[in-house]
Amino acid sequence: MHKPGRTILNGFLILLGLLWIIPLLWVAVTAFRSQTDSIASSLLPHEWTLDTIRVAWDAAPFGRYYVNTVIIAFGILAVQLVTSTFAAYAFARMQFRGRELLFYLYLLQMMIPISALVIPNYITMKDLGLINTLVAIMLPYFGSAMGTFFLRQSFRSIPIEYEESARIDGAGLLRIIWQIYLPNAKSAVLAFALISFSYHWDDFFWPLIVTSSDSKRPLTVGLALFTQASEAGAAWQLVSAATMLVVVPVLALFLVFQRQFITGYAHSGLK
Amino acid sequence: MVQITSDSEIISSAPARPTWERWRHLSAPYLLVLPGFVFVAGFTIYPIFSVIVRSLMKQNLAQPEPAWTGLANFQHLLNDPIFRQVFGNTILYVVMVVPAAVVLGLIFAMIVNQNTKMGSFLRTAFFYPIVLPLVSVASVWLFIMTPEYGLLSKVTQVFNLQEQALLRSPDTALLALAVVGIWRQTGFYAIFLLAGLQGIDRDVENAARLDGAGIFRLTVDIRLPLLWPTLVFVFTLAVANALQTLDLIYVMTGGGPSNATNLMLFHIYETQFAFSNTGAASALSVIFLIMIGTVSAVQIFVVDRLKGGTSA
Repeated sequence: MHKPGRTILNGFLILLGLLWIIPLLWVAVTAFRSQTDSIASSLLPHEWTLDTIRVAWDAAPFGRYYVNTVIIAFGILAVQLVTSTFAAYAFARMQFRGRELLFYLYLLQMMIPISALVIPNYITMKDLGLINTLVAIMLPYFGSAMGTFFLRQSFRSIPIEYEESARIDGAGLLRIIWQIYLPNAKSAVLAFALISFSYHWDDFFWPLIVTSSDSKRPLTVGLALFTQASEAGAAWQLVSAATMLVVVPVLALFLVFQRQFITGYAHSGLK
Repeated sequence: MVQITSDSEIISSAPARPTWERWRHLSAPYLLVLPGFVFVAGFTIYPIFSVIVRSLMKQNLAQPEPAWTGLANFQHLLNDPIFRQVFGNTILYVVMVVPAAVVLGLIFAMIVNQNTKMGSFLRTAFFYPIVLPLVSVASVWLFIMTPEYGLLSKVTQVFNLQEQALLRSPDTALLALAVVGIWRQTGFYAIFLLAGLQGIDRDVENAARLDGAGIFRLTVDIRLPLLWPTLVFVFTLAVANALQTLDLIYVMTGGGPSNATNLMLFHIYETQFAFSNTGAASALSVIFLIMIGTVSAVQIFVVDRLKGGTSA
């Protein structure tokens, strides 16, 4: 009596799951279709080939885009980890005048996204003479409210006795942060690193605005321009190949660290 | 500080060390917060003020040097039919995306939470789009929705339906974008709702089950009231995200046809970088800041209050 309902439900769930997977799968499949094999003629490629991906790679400076994106994403993450760790320790364990005020000013960054401030920030970059540099892409993100609150939460759960005994052994502040707090907050650091890295791998609007040449563009901006250029000629095999080039690294990261991604995001919302 | 140092030097050189220690102790928290705060101040706090000032200045191609103009930029906007259309589009887009994505997200969360055999397959399927760059999502769906070539065209062929160029008609283009927005964001909201569901005491659920509550009663009577703060949080998050839609527009429609998919952020972008009208773009930014800021404020303060009220 229970069985048929279960089966129908399971069938429906599989369909729903497929509905979510098929769009990317379709693009992945098309990336392996030769450029002369008309997409209109069949659902799957008549012949599978790596040529299209190779052609796409050379059709735009994707190698350069890759290098830029890696520098940007790792560069931001490295600086964020330092600034956030320091600030997180101060907010978690120290009493000082203006603590509340500074905390709320930090909070402002979580309330007002960079995208809402592109016009004044663009003008700032112009005044600083940094337009069309990788530094301009990274600079606004060097201080991270999210990273700070995330690590602060984790630091607070570390027993104060660890710090006290290290202090008795003569450890200074920086050593305590570096050797007691960071190692005990590994999972928070990993979760934040994953979120930050994927966020900046994906970031588009700000890099679009502050770059004007391919030598400084990240993958996302490169892909957007490539798609626009290829759309007119209906070169969808090439667009698919280029899309996969941009997607595969973050997708792989997600598949490997799925649990950390999910718990990381979940905690980021719960203050 | 200087006073103390010189005093102690007069008395003897011995207390100099404790004074230095004391100063270090007092300044340490500021030195720790400062490196990050410099960037928060420079790229979040300062630009809020500078964009407000610029919104009161006239600065465009005809007037390259900013000149004081009061509220004229805002007055122009209110009388501008394009701005009215853009504002309306933005609200419409939020209305199309947010309820659908939140409800679907709740359904996804409940499915994954049941932890059936397919739990991990479904979790991966629902959640993977959230890490994809929006630009790539846009490329994927632009391809799918392209007549003759796209997957959608193949589906309509199978069912013998009339082929629709969804993105080329002002009547359907915004809806098509909304579908893509929902596809990409639903998993993100499901994550928070899943965490909320997992936070519900199993004993409470089991007790309700023993009392004979089915899945419907369980959801309406037990889960939804306990999930309420999470739902409000997710709802505001979804509104804030929908308001910031730009990447999809840039790749898929360029704001057209006839401005049917032109939303606030895209309009800010084109006003500055295509029309070189910094004054108008700044005024638009201020309006956009008020919209986003209101949503964020609701998020932080209302959710805080709800949490305090329900979890005590």
